[in-house]
This record gives sequence, structure tokens and C-alpha cells, in this order.
Amino acid sequence: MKWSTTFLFSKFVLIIICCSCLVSVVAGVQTLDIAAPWDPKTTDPHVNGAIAQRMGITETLVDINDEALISPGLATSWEVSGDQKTWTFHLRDGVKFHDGTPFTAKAMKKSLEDSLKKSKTFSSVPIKDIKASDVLTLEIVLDKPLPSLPAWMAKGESAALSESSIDEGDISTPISTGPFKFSSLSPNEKFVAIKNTDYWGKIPSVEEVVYHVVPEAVTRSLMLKGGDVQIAQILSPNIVEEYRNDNTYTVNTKPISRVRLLSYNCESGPFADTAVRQAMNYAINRQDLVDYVLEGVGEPATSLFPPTFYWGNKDIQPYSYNPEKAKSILLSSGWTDSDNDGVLDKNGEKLSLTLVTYPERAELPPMAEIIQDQLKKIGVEVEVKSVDTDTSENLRFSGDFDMYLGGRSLMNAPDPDWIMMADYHSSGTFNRGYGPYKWKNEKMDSLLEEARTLADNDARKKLYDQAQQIINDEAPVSVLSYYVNEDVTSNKIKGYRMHPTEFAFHLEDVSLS
Amino acid sequence: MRPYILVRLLQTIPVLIGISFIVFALLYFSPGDPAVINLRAIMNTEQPPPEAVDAMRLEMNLDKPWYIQYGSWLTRVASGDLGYSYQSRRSTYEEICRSFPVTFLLSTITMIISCIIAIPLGILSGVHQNSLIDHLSRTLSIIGLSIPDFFIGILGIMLFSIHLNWFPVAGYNGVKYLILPAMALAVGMCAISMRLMRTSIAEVLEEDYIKTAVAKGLSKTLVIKRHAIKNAIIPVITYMGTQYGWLFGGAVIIESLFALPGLGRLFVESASTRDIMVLQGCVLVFALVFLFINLGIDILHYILDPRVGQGNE
Repeated sequence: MKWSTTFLFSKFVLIIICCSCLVSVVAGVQTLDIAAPWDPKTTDPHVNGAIAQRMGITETLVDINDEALISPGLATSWEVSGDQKTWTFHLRDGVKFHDGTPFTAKAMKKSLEDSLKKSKTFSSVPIKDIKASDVLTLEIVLDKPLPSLPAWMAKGESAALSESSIDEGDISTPISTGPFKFSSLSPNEKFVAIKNTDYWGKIPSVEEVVYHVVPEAVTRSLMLKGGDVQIAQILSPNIVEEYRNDNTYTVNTKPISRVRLLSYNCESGPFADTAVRQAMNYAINRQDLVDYVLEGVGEPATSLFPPTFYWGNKDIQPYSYNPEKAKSILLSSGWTDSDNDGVLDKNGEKLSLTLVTYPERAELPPMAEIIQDQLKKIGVEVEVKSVDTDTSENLRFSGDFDMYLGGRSLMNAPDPDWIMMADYHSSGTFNRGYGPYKWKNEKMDSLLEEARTLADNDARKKLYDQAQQIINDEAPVSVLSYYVNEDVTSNKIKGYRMHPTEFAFHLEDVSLS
Repeated sequence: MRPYILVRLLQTIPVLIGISFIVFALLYFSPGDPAVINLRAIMNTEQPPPEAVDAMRLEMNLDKPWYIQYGSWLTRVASGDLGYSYQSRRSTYEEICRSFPVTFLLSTITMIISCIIAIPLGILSGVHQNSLIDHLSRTLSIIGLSIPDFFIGILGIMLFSIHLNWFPVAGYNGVKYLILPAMALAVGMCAISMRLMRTSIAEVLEEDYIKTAVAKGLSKTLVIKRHAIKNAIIPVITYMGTQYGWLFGGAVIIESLFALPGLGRLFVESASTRDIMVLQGCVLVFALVFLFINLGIDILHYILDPRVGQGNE
């Protein structure tokens, strides 16, 4: 082959490629574009339903409102039987699936059964039987009482899908009831939904929504600047900074249901003594952690649940930063610097501690170093061990640590029961919980057990408020700060708001100008 | 030539088995419970509940000894089934078929851009050593080599997409979305190929047969066109071939930056979520790509230098 023919050939290939790109045609519909980091992964909401739910394609029996509290969704009301084992959901009348078939208890039963078969989300929910007792009444029978059942029925994996979708097996076109209809999904690329003009609630103003999967925050920001998208989700603080003084964009900030916790080994070592743990709460300057590591985004934590949540205890007084007080508490429990080496000691033993954390969440190791520095000021020596998540968990579950710094999702089920039982009840703290290690508080145990017998949320909240007060007073963990999401939107759109548990984008409320 | 190709194809089978075993062993010995790591991504939580972990371990065969885990995968592949993704529940075949064309186009466009720029520039600066064009192209190649591709990518987006509005910022919807990422990838590649071409042609020009050709009265242009390039281009083609193969899995940073749903991203994501069957599928594809590229290079060598194949005929 002659050299020149190789060149000609490559030009020929180039021409073919250029022609193929002319095929893409721009349609004249009102499209809302979003750039977000998460890949929907699958078209089957019963395998992984998060993104379809956020987009407003699928709906669930129960909704989660802006205070992260359960509210009516496809079920208008629900109640539990006297033995707490049978939940009856009264379904909304007049709801239609995207294919026009009516939404009934029979269809919902089929959906839930399909979901239980495919998803691992409900593996800890003891569902025994699901019954469609009439057209709009659904009964869920449990093996044992579970007051958080309605909250589980808000998870994206419990989405209501039409019977025809489920008959498909691996669902490629989810037909649900939401304000948007499924249009197409290209994994790792984009997810397209179109307006549902027959929606039972508020009909969306935008015709089409395109969710772009963009793993890099820099690219999401550049797409926003280039006008390719109107919403860029989850940007890092340094990127958001560029938009703060630009009035053509709006910065939206929302604390989400995840906290950074310093949990203590309450079994052995200095932290078996409550006073020492309380001293830590005075010695750690939470505001500094937010200012220097998180670039000032977010607020120091007070209660376990953020105060913007229904479940947050708004009355808890935050610990003030008071190293002198910390020192005096330590002194009164016997820790003094008897050999004048700058490190406190008691009975010949130095107050020298290990702090375990992991770098998969990038902010944790620098936070650990600041805590190390802050504790040094009151005469506590800290060794920071930053190891990968799995090693850190091994250290944690073998009790080979004094302090463990990590992030913890609070609302895996959007209800406090799950996290409180897993992390703060003695059955959890002595097992594989992520709260305090081997900590037992009789009052806490009885409060959490009592909360399980109640169905009324206001009554439950009173108990959980007390439980959060105990966490604050007894300091089995130090709640440091809440995770905060920051989304930037172009001023071409109106009505965007973020959801506390990231369950919805509320796109039906968004309009384009 | 034909039996030679057949032998080369048969040789790959043990290679493929070997590679898949190494990948399996690496994952087996890497820390962490694969079931937990998978569930973290599926359930979008750092600490999946223990009940879900138990169910996942059963599904992933993790309760069985390692040789059964590997053996069951191997028998599966032998029967033509590459398995499925724990993350998306789609078949590995489907996942790869979806990402392969994107990466194939991206790599091919990168190679074309790189050929068009690097080869003529390399030849020019090799022939006219220490001239203005030589100094210019060598300076450019050093600059191109020193700037990381993702940085070139970001600069490219800012200039061509945001200021000039010629190309879309990111995403994938046809070939125009591939031009910028291909340019970003081509810059570094051009730099090396160009220098290689330059050195290679400079060496060939010193050969006796070139001197003979010039001495017998052929014009310099003709000598370079007919004799020098043909011989000088062989190492460049070999190098560019390996680069081409590398691009299939190695363009992951650029694929992420430009949000392209390519093979590199599929590979890295399945590795980080321990989605083992997809990961193994990707590895097999990479091995096959390298095999075919090497075969292609051999055939090109044969065309450029017919002596190569004679031993096997």
C-alpha cells in the first residue's frame, strides 16, 4: 500500500464519521437538562429505584416531605392493627399508570412482590404476606411489629409499576404513575423522561427532562456555564465559590441525612468513663472543622438528626468550645500531667489514644488531624490511623481503637427506628452498629423499645428527642457536622428545591423561562 | 500468511485464561468483602445492612472456596456466557457492546488525528534537522508531553465549547462529542510519535542504500518518498499500535471528564464496585483488542516489508 493511499483512507474514515454525526437532530421541545454524578445503572426500579424516583417517574405508597417525614403518596392514609403486625394502606383513587391502566391494590401487591424478589433493600423488613383486600385497600402482614414500615414503603425500590411492566421480567420500560414518563436510559450517559399530561397531581411545566450522568464535578460546572444544563448537582465547595457572587446563577444548599461522627470505644480504655467523653465534646472545636476542612459549608452539628428534619431535636444546646472546661473535667476524673511532659496521665498511664478513620471520604483524614491538634491543646495525645474503609471497619469491630471518625447515613429507611436500633440500642452497639462501641444505656434501650410500640409519629418524636438528648449528655459519640449537598442552578429555571433525603428532584415544580 | 494468523489466534487462548486468573487472584486478595463493596454502590449507603450482605454473598458464590468461584466462572465463559453485572443486572455482553463502540470511535479518531499531525511533522523535522520547523515541532512536542491530558481537556472545553461554542461541553450523542476528547488524548500521543518518526527517519537517511539511491541520481524527495519513509515508519507503526490498544482501557480520565460512556469507565467502575463478571469481560476485550492490533501491525509490516512473512510461508 502506498503511503498516500493510507492517508486517503484515513480521510475517508473521517468523512464517514462526520456524516454520522449529522444524524442527531435537535427537537424543539422545552427540555430541562440536569448534570448529576450518579448513574441510574438499570431501567428496573425494583433492582435500583433511586434515580427513577428522584426524576419523578416512579411513585411509592408513601412520600417523604421537606422535613424528611413520611407523608401521603400513592396511599392517602394507613393504619396498623392492634398487634402491630398488619398494616392497612388506603390507596389514592383515580390514579392511572402511564399506559392508562388504573392503579389498584392488586397491581401494587404485584409490584411489592416483584420488588421483594429482586431487591436487597427490604432484606431486613419482615414481610410475611401482602393482600389486596379490595380495589383500593392493601394489607401488609408482618412476622413481627415494625413501626417504620411506612417509611420503608417510601424507598424507590418499592415503586408502583403496572402489571404489564412486571410481566416483562427484567423491566426495560418502567410504567409507573409519576409526573414524568420513562422515555429512555443509556447507562453511564443519560436518562430521559417526558411529561405525563394525565398525572393525578400537579402537571409538570417542562416537556422533557434529560438527566446527564457526569462523574466529574468540574465537567458538571462547565456544562452549566456552557448552557448545556440548567441544574448542576453536587458541586464541591471550591467550585460553588465561583457562583456565589454571580446573579445569573443560584446556589442551593441542603443538609442531607448523613452525619460525620466521632464514636468512642466505650468498652475499655479512657472512654469507658463518661466524663472523658464529655470532655472531648468541649475540647473539639466543630466550627473550625467546618471552616478549615469544609470551606465553611454547613453548620456544626447539635442533635443526631439535622434540626431541619422533623426528627431533629431542636432544643439541644450545642456544646461550646471550651478547652479549659475540658481540662477541668479530665482533672476531676483523675487525669493530671504529673510528669510535666505535656500529656495527661493517670495511675502511670498516659492519655494516649488512637483515632481510626478512612480516606475514601476525602474530608475525614484532614478532620482527624485537626482533632488531633485540638486535643493536644488539652494534653491528650492522639495517633491518627487513616486506613482503607475495610481495614478501618476491621479495627472497629475488633475494638482495636479509641475513637472512630466516619460518615453515617441516618435514613437508609427514612425513619429513626432503623438507625437508632442499629447504632444506639445495646443490641446494636454490641453487634455491628456504627454508633458507640459496646455502650449500654438502660434508659436509651427502654426509650427505643417503647418507641417501637407506638405508631403515632408525634408520640415517637418525643421519645427520639429524649434519646438524642441522652446522646448529647452521655456523649457515646460526638456528632460533628452534617453532610451538605450544593446544587447550582441557572436563573433560567424557577422552582427547584432540594430534598432532605435525596428522594426527589421536584421537577414537576420547575419551570423554564 | 494464513496459518500464521491461525496460530496467533490459538496462542491467545492460554493467554486469556492466564489473564483472567490473574485478575481473579488480584481481586481475591484485595482487601474488603466484595459483597459489601457491591452493595455500597447498589444501596447507596456506606454501611449496607447485614441481611442484605448475607444474601449478596450467596448470590456471588462467596461462601464457596476460591477454586469453585473461579471454576464456575470459567465453565460459564467456556459455554459462551460472560455472566451478568451485579450492579445493573444486565448481561456483561450487553454492557460491553454498549460501551465498546464509543471507545472504538474515540480511540480511532485519536489515532487519526495523531497520525495526521505526528507523521508529516516528524518526517519534516527529521529531514530538515535543526531547521525552524524542527525546532518548532520539538518545542511543541515537549509542551504536549508535559501537560496532562485532563488539563488539556478542561482548557479545550473552556476555549472550544464555552467561548467559541464549536463543540458540546460533555456527554455523548454522536461523533461531534468525541472530537474534543480525541484532541485532548492526541496531544500527548502526537508528541511521542512525532519524535519517534523524526529520529527514525534521521537514522534511515544515514543508511547506505539511501546514499546509493542519491548517488545513482534520484532526487532527494523521491528517495525519501520511495525508500526512506517505508523503512522509517515501521517502529512508529509498532508504537502507535500499542498506543491504540492502550486507549481502549486507558482513556478513563478523559472518558470521565467528558462523561463518555466508554469501556475505560466501565472497567474502572466495575473494578471499584467489585462487579467481577463485567470486570473479567472487559479484561478479555482488552486482551482481544491487543491481539488484533498486534496482528494488524504484523500484516502492515508484511505489506511494508515483504521479507517479514517469508519465513512462515
